[in-house]
Amino acid sequence: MSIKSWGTYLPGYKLPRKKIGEAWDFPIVPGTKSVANYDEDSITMAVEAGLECLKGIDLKSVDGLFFASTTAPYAEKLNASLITTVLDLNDDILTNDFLGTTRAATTALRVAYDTIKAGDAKNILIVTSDKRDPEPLTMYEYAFGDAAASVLVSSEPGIANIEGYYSISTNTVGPYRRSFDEFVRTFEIKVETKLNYTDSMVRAFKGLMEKFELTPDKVDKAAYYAPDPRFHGTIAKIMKFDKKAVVDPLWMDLSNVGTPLPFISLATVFEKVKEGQNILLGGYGDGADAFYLTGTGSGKELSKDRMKVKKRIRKQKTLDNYNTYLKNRYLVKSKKPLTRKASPVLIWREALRVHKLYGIKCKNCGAVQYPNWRACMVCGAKDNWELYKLPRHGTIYTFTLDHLIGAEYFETPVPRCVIELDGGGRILLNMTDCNPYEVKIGDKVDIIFRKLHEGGDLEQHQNMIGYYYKCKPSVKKAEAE
Amino acid sequence: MGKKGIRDRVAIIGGGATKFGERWDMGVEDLLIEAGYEAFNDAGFKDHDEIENTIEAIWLGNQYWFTGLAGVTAADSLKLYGKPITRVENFCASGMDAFRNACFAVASGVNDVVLACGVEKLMDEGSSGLPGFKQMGHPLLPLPSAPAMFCFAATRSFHEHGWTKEDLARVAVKNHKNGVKHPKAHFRRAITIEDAMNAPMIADPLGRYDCCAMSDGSAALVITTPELAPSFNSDYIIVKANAVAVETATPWYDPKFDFIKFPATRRAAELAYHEAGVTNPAQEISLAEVHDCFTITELLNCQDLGFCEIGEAPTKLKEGFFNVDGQVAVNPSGGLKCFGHPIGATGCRMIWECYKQLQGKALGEQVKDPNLALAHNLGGAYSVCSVTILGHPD
Repeated sequence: MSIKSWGTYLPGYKLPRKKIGEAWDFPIVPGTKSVANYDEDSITMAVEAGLECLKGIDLKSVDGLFFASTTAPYAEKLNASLITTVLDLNDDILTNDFLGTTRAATTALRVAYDTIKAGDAKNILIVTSDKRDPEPLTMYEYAFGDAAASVLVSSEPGIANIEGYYSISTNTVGPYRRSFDEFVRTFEIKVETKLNYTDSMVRAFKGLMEKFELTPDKVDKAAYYAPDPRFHGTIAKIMKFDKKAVVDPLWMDLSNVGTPLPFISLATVFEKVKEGQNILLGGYGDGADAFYLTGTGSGKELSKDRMKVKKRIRKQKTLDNYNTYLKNRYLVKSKKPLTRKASPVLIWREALRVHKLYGIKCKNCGAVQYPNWRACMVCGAKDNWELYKLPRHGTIYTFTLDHLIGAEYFETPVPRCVIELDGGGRILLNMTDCNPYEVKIGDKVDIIFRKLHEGGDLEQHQNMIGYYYKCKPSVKKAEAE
Repeated sequence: MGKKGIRDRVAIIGGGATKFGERWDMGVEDLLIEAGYEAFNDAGFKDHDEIENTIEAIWLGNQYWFTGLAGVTAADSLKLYGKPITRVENFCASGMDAFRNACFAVASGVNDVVLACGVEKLMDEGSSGLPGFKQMGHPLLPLPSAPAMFCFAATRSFHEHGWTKEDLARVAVKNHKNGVKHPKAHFRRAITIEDAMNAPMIADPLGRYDCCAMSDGSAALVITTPELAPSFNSDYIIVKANAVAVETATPWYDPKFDFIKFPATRRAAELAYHEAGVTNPAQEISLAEVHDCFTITELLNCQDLGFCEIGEAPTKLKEGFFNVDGQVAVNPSGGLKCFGHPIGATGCRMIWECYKQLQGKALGEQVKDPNLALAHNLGGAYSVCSVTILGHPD
């Protein structure tokens, strides 16, 4: 049993904590936090992390998908099924959501382990992400960041073997959010960390190490959750982990990214994993999960194909002001997200085009086209085509910077881009994560999964989220510059 | 194409148009009455009884559901009941397509005298661009605003031909100048190149003066056969051609679309010129009311209507080729730039302008001794085009 592959995703922006401090006259805290754009949520970020994990993996070999988050966009409706559709995985697979606690990712890992061990599945993809809203004008604004990560658990050999686990379940002081709460509530963090976090994390690690007869000096890497860096250090001290073994939770760059945090730490270990390395993984939330993994030394090949976490951090653009952050999260009450009604029937019927981004290739004239396909747009041939998965890269053929969005005037324009896809075909996509004023004809773009709008008509039950694709300036182009 | 075509088989005997603009105090009924009765009076109808006894059928162009659905909008406004009335909707060509359908009734001999009219009441919906964009199109795919759709052509034309924002500005300056004298225009103020270039951006590179305004308005035309026409109005005008061409609503998915030509305009022009027997448009067409919803639209349309070569429009414009006293007077009324664009009304308003011009009775700038006049609409994402050519009786 192994972790065969991994992926991470960080949104394109970071907010310096100084900006928060200046906005509210708080004591200034150093560092930045990772912040999602207005059109991102836990599903879109999970999709991006999932795609990264599946690079070089046969999609049809995946027979399970778990989604772990405290901020699932749908409270009722399986988020994992939507992600499975977008990732274009088989539909006869095991899917489930693990929700309601930052420990959900490691718990999903435990269930994946058990399922594969029982012989009921061979490859289970776990995608985890969080976009938690701290209440404005509270210190929690310093603490929460947005991110996503993923691992592929496999019965085949991989980067690291999963040796086993140990879990603790507690019901003491910690973060909570009731159905009517907009923001996460926490009692004083000192109480939580003393009564719950430290106790659970230490008990889980101790239980695990006892089970596998591990001593602190044998631990090469320890990647685990912590609500803040101070208590991360406390665990290391109590557990007597070597300084070099403790994996940076990246709090200074990202803040506490919630559920995906242990997997992001683990990703930084995988980036240079060595054979025989003893790795501990810890997740926390109303108890704790601890895992024992051993490196196989076979991660190097995969590592070349995956963007390193540090590099993702370097690529994040700094938000110029705190207001933009508030606006992007719709925390300013007069600012409403773009809505549009969309029948759930239509969303179901159009999944192949809208969620999986399939077009067609005409068998008569060879034209690649989207989104209509019964009759060829170029030669008119009817029902003579094959499905064609559109590439995620293209070039801008023409564009405009549109200030009118849903018949409302916006000061910052949205680039509307007509894109010539690599290999043929055209598509119209809005651009995101960009400086609109830098867009040019001929620019290379990447195609990414985002929210186009927030659904619409509540009364007619047509307010399901309008997930679709957008484009952003090509990563490759940015690297070349 | 049918052997007969529409040429020389329909005559306009009455025309009317409201003042276009922010008609806050007017409803759809008021607007249709204002335009309709001007047309009825022009055709020599004395009162409601005569109108009721003469007008056999009505075609009404309007785009938006809040202006009105079905034929009842015209019936209830004009109090003409028990007649065949059909609402025609075909994007910005709605009004001109209503006229085209009315022409068919007369040309076929089914009706002798009919009314073609168009109306739109946009201002009640607020004025931040065309309303309804939250409801239109596929709800899960992006939909650019109307200016953004035409910007795709502007950006691409800039790229291919090296055109600039100043080239666009000249269209606005010309049309605003033309509109100053027109009593029915929404805007009657001349502007400078600087005004146009420094205006706030709507969809880059189109600024406020590159876009036509939201307006209310209505226009109406009474038509009959050339044989019957003189008994109503000795100063009648003949329909020489009438064509509509429909392309895709979403050209951005067409792998071959070049965004420097409007295929709908080219096809409708080809059909109309063939019908009217026009072989050299720049020589034969005296004036054209060309759809200038945006300045870039007018430039490309002038090329696609064959007034000049592809890539040449800005140069020709600068040389005065499209001025009121130029080779082809383009938008002598001031166009959509000055009248605004109450969608369903625009096509009929353009035909009304051409009718007045050919009669030598233009309310604004009069083109000298016009021979043939052309009216042109382009709607959607350059999806639907209609072209009408009018001329004098032989």
